[in-house]
Amino acid sequence: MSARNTYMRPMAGWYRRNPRFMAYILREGTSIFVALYAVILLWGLTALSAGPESFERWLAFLASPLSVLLHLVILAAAVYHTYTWFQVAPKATPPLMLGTRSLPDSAIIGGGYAACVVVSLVILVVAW
Amino acid sequence: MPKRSNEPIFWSLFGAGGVVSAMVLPALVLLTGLAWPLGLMSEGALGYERMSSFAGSLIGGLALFVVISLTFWHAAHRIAHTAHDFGVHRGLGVWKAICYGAAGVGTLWTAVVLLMVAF
Repeated sequence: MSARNTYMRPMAGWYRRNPRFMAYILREGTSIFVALYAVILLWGLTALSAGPESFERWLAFLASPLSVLLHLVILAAAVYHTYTWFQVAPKATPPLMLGTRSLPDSAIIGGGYAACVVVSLVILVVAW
Repeated sequence: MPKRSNEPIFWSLFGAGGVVSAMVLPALVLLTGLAWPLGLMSEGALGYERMSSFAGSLIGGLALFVVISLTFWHAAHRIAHTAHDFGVHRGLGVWKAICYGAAGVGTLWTAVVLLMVAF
């Protein structure tokens, strides 16, 4: 029996075919910068456990121009992640019933943003 | 007994990490990556003394553990699937092993380092 020779539609550059695919890649791509920030935080904690001198070196890295530039990109990715995460939240949330009507999508999205604003303000006020 | 999928476990970690990172990361990045380095906060705000007492406290340590480890699990899920989407066709299992493995190491590392700071 010979090997099957089924036609396989080429997939190279698939994300350029539709702006929605590009938005998808952009959304999923935020995870690289989000992970990078978690690594930077973990590096800081590791330095903290090693003593004041190594923690100073981590702080010196944070103060470098390269780090500030990198964190600008990370901030943009983190904000885009927050925006897209709550946009799709209604699709992942089980329907919440208010009497006979389900909670509207806009309430779930708005609730997410509101919670994020409150949490962010608490973090900023406590840390500052 | 039929083989059961492990997807619900990893999807739950992805979802929890997505919520946590969406809630806190913009504020944290603004603080540690921009406001402090640009001199908008006091010098000691991220100083060794203040940070060790925060990370060494029960609430601070738990918060850092939840944020860092769940962010790793969230990103691991997305990176594994996106790598697959970019055409590593036979590799989803391999990508999952690499990414979830890295998230597991990151979680353990975070726990160990936080315990070292606390005790």
